[in-house]
Amino acid sequence: MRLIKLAFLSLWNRKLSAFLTMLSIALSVTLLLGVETIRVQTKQSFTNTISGTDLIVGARSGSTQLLLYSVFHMGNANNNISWNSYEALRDNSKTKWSIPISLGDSHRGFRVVGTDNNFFEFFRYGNKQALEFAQGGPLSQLYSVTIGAQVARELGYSIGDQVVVAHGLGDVSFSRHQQHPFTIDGILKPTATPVDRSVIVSLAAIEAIHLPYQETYSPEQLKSSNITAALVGTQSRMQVFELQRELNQYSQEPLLAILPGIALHELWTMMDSVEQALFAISICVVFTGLLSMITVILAGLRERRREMAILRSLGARAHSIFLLLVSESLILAIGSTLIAVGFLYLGLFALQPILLSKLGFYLSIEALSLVQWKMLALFIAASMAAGILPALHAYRLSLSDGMMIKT
Amino acid sequence: MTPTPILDISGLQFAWPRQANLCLDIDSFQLNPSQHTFLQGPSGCGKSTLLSLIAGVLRPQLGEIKLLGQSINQLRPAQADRLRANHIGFIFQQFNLLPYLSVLDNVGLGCAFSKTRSQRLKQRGLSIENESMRLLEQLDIDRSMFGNPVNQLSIGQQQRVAAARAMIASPELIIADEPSSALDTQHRDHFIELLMHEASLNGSTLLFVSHDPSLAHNFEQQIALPTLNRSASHAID
Repeated sequence: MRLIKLAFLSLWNRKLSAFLTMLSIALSVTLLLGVETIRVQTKQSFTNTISGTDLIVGARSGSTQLLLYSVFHMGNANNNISWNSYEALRDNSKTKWSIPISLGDSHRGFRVVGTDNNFFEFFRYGNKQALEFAQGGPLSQLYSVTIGAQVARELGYSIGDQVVVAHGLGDVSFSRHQQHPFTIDGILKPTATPVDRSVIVSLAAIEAIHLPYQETYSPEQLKSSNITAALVGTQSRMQVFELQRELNQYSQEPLLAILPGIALHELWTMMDSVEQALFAISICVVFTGLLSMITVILAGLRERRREMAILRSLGARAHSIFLLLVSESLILAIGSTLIAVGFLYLGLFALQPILLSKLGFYLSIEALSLVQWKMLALFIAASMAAGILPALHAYRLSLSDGMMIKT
Repeated sequence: MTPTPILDISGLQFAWPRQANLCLDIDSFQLNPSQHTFLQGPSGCGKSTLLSLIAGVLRPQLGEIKLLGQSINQLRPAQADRLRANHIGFIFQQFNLLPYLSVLDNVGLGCAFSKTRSQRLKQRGLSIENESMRLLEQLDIDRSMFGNPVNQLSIGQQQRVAAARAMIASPELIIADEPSSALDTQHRDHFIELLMHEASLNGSTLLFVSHDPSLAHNFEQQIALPTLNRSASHAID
């Protein structure tokens, strides 16, 4: 259409200010799209962290806290559960499998997880996916260690390497257990969960690094007295609540058993307000962008009254002038949208390796979601609506100016 | 038998909103086909207002303005816009051209808002582009400039491009509002000569408006707006 071409050429004539306007709007739209991408992906990554586990059991605390330290390796347990309690849980008739978890140590900034080979057999993440070995296999001896994909990549470890595991969580710890070198016996495939950042050893090994150095230890010495948490699978779905109630009322020790799905949901609800705040901020930023677009167009109108008078003298109707201005907003909006999508993907490609190495968060780069397409459509509609203001102004000017400019 | 006038104004009265005095009060004013008329008047006497009334952009309070037999002041705004687009070519004092279009596209813009004008060219077997080129050459614009942005042209050249645009597809009426007042004497005479020659070739009626009485001798009909406008003589009384 001729008007759109004129609007385009007119904008091209003012390309610097038009480009800067588009850039500022584009940044706001990028923010909007980016917040949505991050929101969807964090939620996905959250819910993918654990699956197939019916109960998480730990010392009595809050369910969110238990979930955070046992599964996400965030924060610490303020109490452990005794080995006796774990044995009772493991041997319960409703329990199909159980994975003991003992936390509290680190290796060069990565958490050490003390467990047994049940971990490799029963732990599930994502859509009930099992852990797979990229190289090697499960723990085979006292000083065996299996590492997550990110640990292997960042520390450059391969099978057979000898490493030292320290007591405590810091990178540089006071009591490094130099005397107990471990051998890497297995490297896991990437899972995009905290497992990637884990250094996995046997429960006995955890005991060993806390004992004074000896050539050999007796089995009695290496017997765990307590663990941090346990993951449990029940015989049947029906027994989950029964077992949960049983554990929560366990008389020997105050325990807490939680359903991971519900705890995840609770945790996500907490995140929800943060996410909504981000969303509200990005809406405000988009609004500011649109306001600046209106300002730029309105400011330009004064200089363009001549242009409109010429068009009017050529027989353009006042409502053509209105449409010309609305098309201008439309072109700016579409241009900004294209730039914004470009920025989004540039940003995602730039962030992907950083998030993976710093947070172990795998950002998958996908096509725009339906929600994002809707956002863009709404944005374009909103900018056309915003464009009505300067267009109305131009319409009135061109009615009163006619073919004359009183300057 | 006299032919139907191109423009026929009768009993026209116009006042600007919120002003007690009439700005224009014209009993009768005609332009006959192919006539070249010089309308003279000092600045501020209502020349531009009269042109806006003829163009149908302003509406008189009383009277009738007939353009090719149609009362433009009684048409709906969109119809008035169409009548203007189809039958009137305008040339203004300065800045007639859109800065973001090339010389050639500025001339072609004369057909942009008028189907009638485009069709008229088509019937003659001409494309907008070829006709633009022909007019520009007639008006002494060098071919090498056709693709240039208009701000690279001198003011004289810009006015000739504006004239070419006004005349594309031969509208019945060419209205030139002080088209030569930004030009020096030498360029001015050349411009008026070209304009009149081209208007004659097209058979267009020309209404040339200026404050400068020294240009009057070029035209067959000469009218002073203050004489025509009764409200002006009242004011002097």
